[in-house]
Amino acid sequence: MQDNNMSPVGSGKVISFNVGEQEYCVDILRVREIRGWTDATPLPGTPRCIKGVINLRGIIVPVIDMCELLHVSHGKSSDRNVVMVIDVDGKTAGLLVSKVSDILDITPEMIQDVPVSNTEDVDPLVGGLIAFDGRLIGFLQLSVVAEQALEHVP
Amino acid sequence: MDELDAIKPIFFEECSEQLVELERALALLESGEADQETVNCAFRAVHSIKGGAGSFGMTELVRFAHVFETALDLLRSHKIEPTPEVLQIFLRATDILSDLTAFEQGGEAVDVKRQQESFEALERLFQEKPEPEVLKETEEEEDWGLPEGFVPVPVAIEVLNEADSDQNHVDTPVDSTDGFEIFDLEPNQCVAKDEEKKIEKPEEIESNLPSPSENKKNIQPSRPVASASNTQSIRVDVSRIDRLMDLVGELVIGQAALREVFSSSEKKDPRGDVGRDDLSNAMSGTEQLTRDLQDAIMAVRAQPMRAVFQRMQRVVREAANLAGKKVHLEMDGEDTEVDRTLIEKLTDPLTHMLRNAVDHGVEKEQVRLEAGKPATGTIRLSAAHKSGRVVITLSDDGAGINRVRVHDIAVEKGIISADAQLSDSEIDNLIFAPGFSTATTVTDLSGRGVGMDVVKQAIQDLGGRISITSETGKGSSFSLSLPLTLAVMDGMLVTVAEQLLILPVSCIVETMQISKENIFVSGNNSTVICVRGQFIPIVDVTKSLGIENRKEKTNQPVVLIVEDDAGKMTALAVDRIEGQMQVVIKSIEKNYRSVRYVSAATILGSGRVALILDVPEVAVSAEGRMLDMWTSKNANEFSLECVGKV
Repeated sequence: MQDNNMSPVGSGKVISFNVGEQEYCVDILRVREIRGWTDATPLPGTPRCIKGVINLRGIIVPVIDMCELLHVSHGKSSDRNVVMVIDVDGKTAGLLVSKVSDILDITPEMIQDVPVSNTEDVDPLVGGLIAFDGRLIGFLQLSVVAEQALEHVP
Repeated sequence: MDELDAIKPIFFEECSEQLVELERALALLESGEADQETVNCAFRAVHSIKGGAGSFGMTELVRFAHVFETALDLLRSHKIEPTPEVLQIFLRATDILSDLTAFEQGGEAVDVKRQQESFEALERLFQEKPEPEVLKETEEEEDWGLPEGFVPVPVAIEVLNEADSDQNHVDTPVDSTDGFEIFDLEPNQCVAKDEEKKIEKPEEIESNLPSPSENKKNIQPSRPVASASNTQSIRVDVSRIDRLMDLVGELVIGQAALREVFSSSEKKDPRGDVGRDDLSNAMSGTEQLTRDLQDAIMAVRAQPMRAVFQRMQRVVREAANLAGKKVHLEMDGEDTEVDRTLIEKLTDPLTHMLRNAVDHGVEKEQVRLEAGKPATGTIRLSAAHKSGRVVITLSDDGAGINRVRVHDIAVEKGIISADAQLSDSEIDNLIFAPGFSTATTVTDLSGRGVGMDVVKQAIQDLGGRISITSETGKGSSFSLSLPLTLAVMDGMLVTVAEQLLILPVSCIVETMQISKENIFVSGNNSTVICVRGQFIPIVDVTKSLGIENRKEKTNQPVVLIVEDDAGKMTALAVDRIEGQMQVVIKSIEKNYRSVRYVSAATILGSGRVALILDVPEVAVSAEGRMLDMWTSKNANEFSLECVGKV
């Protein structure tokens, strides 16, 4: 389960953020910037998880609503809702998350496999789990995020 | 090898420039306007291609360029005259040369048979000449330093043939001074003297080095393109870069001025009323600068149409050959500059139109003579700037459009109904209708299943328009009008369900407010609007885009009449027209994927993204066909409201 893609080797740091009530993290090197939420322009005929497109200094960037993508109920929208701009597979995308919480030091050993349950397939979005300070943090596979959200045509 | 790979793209770029030069020189020779310099120019072009190709070990290209060069040299030294036959051979050789370079660039393989034919034709040119020994006696040393008594081609071929695995060091001339070395050496001596210049991959040469008589089956149709990166480059006049630099300098000053005005106005009057004039002056200064900057950067990207036009000589030449007609292509305004993206995208439509003109426009020689026209047909291709757009006209002196036949075919193909009364120009425009092709048999030339509708679509994709005028017996003329750039366009800003959308102004025919008595619900559950007696289907943009929670009580809707690729009108219903503006086109695909009904996006002054509608697609969308508010149930209610307002 563990591949190079998911282990935050190189930086050893991840950014953790909340999606609804849950907590996830991504490799800090993949994050270009974090922006406050501005209204996105909706696109016709796109999946629900695509909030629309925003203007990032003259570049059109799609915004992925992580609550929709991870099937987490939307918490109350607040002014702490932010867009994390990430680079994935040569493209730039924004992830709309509830709030950014922390920067954590992570070693590859800290990432545990996602337990396989008998009834459900493992969600490929989450590449591993990190137990940190009594919290459960899911390590997101950004390439899978991009594949599911950006390439999926309804 | 890495260094060579890095400069390979430059070589190919130079090649295409040289080919354009060559073609131009030959065209001048053809028209009889050539002087000695023209011939020199053609010679130099082929020679530089040969030289460059040699450095990269493109054996096949070197071999061909060499024969070509030798033949051109005879012309240069007046040993042969530029008769039409000779020029034909040269023109064909130019085509092959261009194919060979394209192949080296990773393009399609060259037609071996044609290459061989052309090769032999060139060879014959100088084989028919007196023996070299005779030349030696009669001719003094040439001023360009060609060694006396050389027997160019056989030597060259032998050199290449003998280049087996341990003796493949072909001398690779890199400049004009050593360019002839290869001629005066015995084959066995033709071993690289300069170790650094020798071709480094013997096995590659071996595989690419069958003798001319052999079939070159072992050439891979698409060799991987040598260059590692796909970077493109353009040549720009330095003065244009300087102008850009000056403007950027001015912009910096302008910005400083703006800041100055801003801070001083704050000091004078904290409420900011007094400094307003200064501020607006500084503002308009910056605005002007921005516009100048935009023009300057467009000038950098601008390239003369020559690059496309020269290629068209060949298209016409080949098409005329295939059709067995005599056609002459006249060109005008090759120096007209347009954005380079436009140049690239114009090649295909123009090629198609020229083929059509040769195939359908110009008549056969016999027919022309009977009609009292010169045997050779003339096609004119011209480009000019007209009110901020590029206008390209393509006219022929052929038979013109056979309207009776076009009408019959349109009826037969179900494009129009049999009793439709159409004006001449309406009939002419039928040739743009999808699925329309007048050729009764599918010829090799045109009629490959794509017709003028594809051309029209391509032109419209570029934000352009195409129209045709035709006179029976005198010929037809196509006129293309294109924007100068693809990066900026004129957009119509409209509101649809609280969202701002942009429509390209180029596709809008007219705009109008809807009034009650013009709306009809037709049988197949769709709504039409009657404009001056013509019924036009209405498409509700809101519904096409699937925008939810539309507010029931919108303002009185407006329709924009747009024309699609077949000349068919559609009325797009929107809530409000906000105005017209220049928009900068931004790609959505770059970071996402293509989205249905949306061709691109732009950024408004507010920083928000606005979508640019893909009008042809929206116009045919089924979702928007039915306007809820105008169904029979509440049509009345709505109309009353309308009447109240009108």
